Amino acid sequence: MSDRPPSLSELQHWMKWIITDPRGTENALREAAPTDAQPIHRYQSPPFEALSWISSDSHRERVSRIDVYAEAYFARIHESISLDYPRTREFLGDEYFMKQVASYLKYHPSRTPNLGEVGLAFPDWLGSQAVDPWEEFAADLARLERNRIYAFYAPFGPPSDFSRLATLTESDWASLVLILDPSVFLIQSSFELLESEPRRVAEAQSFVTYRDSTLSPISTSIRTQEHFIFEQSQKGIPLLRIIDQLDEADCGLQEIFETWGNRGVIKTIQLETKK
Amino acid sequence: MLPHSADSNSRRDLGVGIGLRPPHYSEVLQQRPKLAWFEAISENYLTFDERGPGAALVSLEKIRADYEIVLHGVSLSIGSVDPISVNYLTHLKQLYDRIQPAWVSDHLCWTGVQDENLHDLLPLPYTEEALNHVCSRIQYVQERLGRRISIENVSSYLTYTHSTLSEWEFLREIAQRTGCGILLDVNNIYVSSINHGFSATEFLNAIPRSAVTQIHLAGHSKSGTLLVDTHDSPVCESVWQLYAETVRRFGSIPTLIEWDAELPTLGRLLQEADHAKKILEETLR
Ligand SMILES: [Fe+2]
Repeated sequence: MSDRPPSLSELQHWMKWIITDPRGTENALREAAPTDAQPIHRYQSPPFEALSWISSDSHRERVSRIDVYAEAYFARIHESISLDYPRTREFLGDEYFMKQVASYLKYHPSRTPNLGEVGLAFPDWLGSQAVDPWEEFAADLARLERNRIYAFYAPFGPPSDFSRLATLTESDWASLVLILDPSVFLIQSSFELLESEPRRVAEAQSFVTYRDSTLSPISTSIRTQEHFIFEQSQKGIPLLRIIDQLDEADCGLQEIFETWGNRGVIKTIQLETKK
Repeated sequence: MLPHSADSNSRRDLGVGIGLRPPHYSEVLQQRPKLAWFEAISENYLTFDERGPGAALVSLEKIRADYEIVLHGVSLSIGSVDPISVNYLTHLKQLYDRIQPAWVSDHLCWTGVQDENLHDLLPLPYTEEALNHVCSRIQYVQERLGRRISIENVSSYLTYTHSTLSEWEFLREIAQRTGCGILLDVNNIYVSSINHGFSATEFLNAIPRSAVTQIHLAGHSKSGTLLVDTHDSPVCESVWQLYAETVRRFGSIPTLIEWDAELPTLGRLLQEADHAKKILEETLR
């Protein structure tokens, strides 16, 4: 025990370590300098040991008081990530999902003021750990669920307006760009992500997520051509140039306009201004 | 210190309000409950999509059209030894400019260090070092935001042997040195008084009346020998009694019902607000 009190900085560094050490308070205190755990900085106590500066007559009580914070730290983040990825959690099972969150948190501690953002790198982390097909499926499923978060928080787009279509001249068509709603997010996967069990498909499947008129995120599968048109349109590429790159001569443009215009995925059109 | 006349954050008696939580947005917009104000959590509206405001902020703006809004933060981390994030303050200020809150607040605590946010309200040692540190940061934040902020006492589960001041002396001191307001959380006073064995009345008596801008009321739960500030239940009888004592000492202060976990219906929350209003009126009669 140190005979001088910790500085504010020493105290906070020690508290952060003990609260976030993945082994839990008691185990962390038992071995404050392990050599084999990864990532090692999460497991090693800072130089100043501050336990004795927590008020109490007993070691046990000091530990149990710190435990309130240590348990709340993990529980709060686990709950937030669980709420954001309900299908991934259901597929992986509660216990395995919790283990994944714990491992994720070791490498991706929160660096944001918004608790809702803590799990945004979780799908990619699952992907980086995936070996078996079911793990790849879980990662893609989580990516699809992340798109729902992105869609919900996306800004609002322009009002739906296709009146300009009627007055387009022949030359206008070359510079026509589809403007999609900002809530549109796309993903491709080699799994059928709308099913509850992993089923690998021969050709990559495409899925669009967008926010509907009741502000709820909707995810649905789309054709590969639709995916390509949406993706290129988001980059500001004129529609005719996109269609030129498609294999099929008839991509069903009329139907695409009707279906996705009605659903608010395509909001309006714009003529690309020459630079 | 900010001149009080120049800030828009002086106390306004808005009566009793409730915490605005996302599951209640549409009900609030449809039912327009009879209430003067809501308190919203600032961080819920600091959108991570740089392209513009999302659905949450748009809903808040719609509600703002009919109600006063108070913005309450959870990540200012005023006691942390990390530098205050200028980016965070910039986003907060943009949010304030959009919403024009009646006043703004955060907590007397630290929430993380080494650029990691633990998303918890961690207790500070009440030392001269911490006092100087917190005061200089409150002054910096008030200048940067161009307004007075209110600072809330938190529930705590541990204290430090090297504290040289009590929590209430510390709180009073920061209010006096920086001109910040005090958001008095009556449930937090109660929870900490049980956890650490101090007198809640002594706490209340030490707080200068002029500094108190708002009161929080909430439910807590028991975990072993400790009370934990869980915001998952109604306000308990002991806290209602302490609230009445607070009203007797401080008069009519805008009061807010916080309820976060096990969120009840909007109707149940409004009932809780009515109960606070009744106590407020009966105590002042
Ligand atoms: Fe509170």
